[in-house]
Amino acid sequence: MPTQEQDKSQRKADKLFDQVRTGDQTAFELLFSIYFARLNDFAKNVVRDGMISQDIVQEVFVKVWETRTEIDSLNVEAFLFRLVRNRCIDYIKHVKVVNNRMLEVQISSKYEELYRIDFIGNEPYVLIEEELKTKIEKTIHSLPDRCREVFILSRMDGLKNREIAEKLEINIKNVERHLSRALQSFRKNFTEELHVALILLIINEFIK
Amino acid sequence: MNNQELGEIINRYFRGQLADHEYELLTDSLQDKNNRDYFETAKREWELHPELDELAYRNLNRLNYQLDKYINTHRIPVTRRLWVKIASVAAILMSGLFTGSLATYLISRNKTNSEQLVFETPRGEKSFVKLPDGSEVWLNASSRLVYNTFSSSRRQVELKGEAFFKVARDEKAPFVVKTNECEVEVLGTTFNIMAYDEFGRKEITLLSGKVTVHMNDVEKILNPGQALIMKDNYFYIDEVNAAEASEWVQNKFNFKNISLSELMKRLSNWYDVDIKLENNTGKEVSFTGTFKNEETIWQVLEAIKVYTPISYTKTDLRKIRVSVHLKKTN
Repeated sequence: MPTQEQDKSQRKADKLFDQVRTGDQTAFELLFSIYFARLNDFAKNVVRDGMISQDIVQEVFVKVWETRTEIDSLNVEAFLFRLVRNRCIDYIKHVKVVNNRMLEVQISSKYEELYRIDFIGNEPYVLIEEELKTKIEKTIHSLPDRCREVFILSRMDGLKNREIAEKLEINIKNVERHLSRALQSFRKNFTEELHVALILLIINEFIK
Repeated sequence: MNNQELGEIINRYFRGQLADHEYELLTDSLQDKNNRDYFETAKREWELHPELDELAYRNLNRLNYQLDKYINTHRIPVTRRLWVKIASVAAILMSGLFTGSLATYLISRNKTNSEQLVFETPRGEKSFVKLPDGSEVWLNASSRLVYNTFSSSRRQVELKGEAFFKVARDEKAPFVVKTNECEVEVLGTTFNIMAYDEFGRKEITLLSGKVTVHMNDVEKILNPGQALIMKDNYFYIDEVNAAEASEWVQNKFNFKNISLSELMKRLSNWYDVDIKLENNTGKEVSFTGTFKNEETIWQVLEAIKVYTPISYTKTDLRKIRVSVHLKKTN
């Protein structure tokens, strides 16, 4: 149950947002001033890039301003935070395509918990890492049996293609075919341009 | 953790300045109800008086620019720094609709911390500042303008980088721009100062009125149409087409007799890219030209390539390597 204190602080943000809805830019500035540092810091910890995090927070606030009359949130603070979080996820999925920086991606929930307490309170919340993992699990699950078997041997047990071929007594070409099919499936399921290597990295993390 | 320590951590949290280990530390301590109440009280306090640091302040300016553009055009500009597009995102910060109310608001906010106000532009963006005395300043990319409260007898600002000034006339209070090398003193004029530290060359160009430039023990007076150019340990005054010096305000970039390395540094600033220049032999080549910001960095490099033996490759996001092909000695 939210404490009284929380209610009060939410009312403050929500009250501000009522003013923002009427087109009050000063109120919007104040809203930005209250949340910029925290949201930017959160995004920075997730995307691991201080420039990108600023862009993300910018985009969120521009978007909020643009759609201010349509936003009907009971909890503006949580709403802002979720927008930033989702943009971060989009970015993680997207940017690794651009320049193979997947090694920089280490999604740590240690930052997230503090933000969850502050922004989300008692509302339901899924950790970023969980969201990505669930998606990965689902994708693996959806693969045909043989394909899944090859994929797991390759990416989780770290076997070489040749070793897999020997173990399963199949042609190495078939191993390659299964793997490529699995990766295709990943591409498709992560609707954005998620770089396969990123997923694999996450898989490695999650197997440990 | 005692209350004071907790208070400090919470404060840093609101400023986005927690050290890596403090996230968990604070998370753990918030399990305690008293600490949690303390946190919520601090949060309300912060909401009443949030403080902007330089980064937040810069982002607020950027946001205002975006909103301004949105309001005027009913279209959201691309905010992500897609680097080929950045040149068209010429940020005129705090301009138009916002100048009055927002500027006053921001100034009063920052004054609570110190009497100093800092305006800063990142690479790839420009900004416009209206000072309290009515003077107008356009800041070029990657530049910084600092000013203290103006007194009734002196208006002083400090500049790094490049700016174009339209100084409001006030006979009683000279307007002084300080750079690392010199002070430029005026009463009411229009002039451009280019003083990027890394260019090894500074230029002061006068469009109208009169300015006095103080350099160590030397004083020089400039007339309209003249430019004072400083290099290392010497300076000279040249007759120039002064209007060109400020055309960057309209997104038109002019450069005259500059070295390849300076040109690359300017391109870095304008397009917000890192350019690594390899095999650069020095100053034999000098560049003169004009381009508008509609061109992409690739078009600009392609144009340079026509006259200069260079090749370039994109090495990363917003990173380019430019190599000069050395002439083979026979």
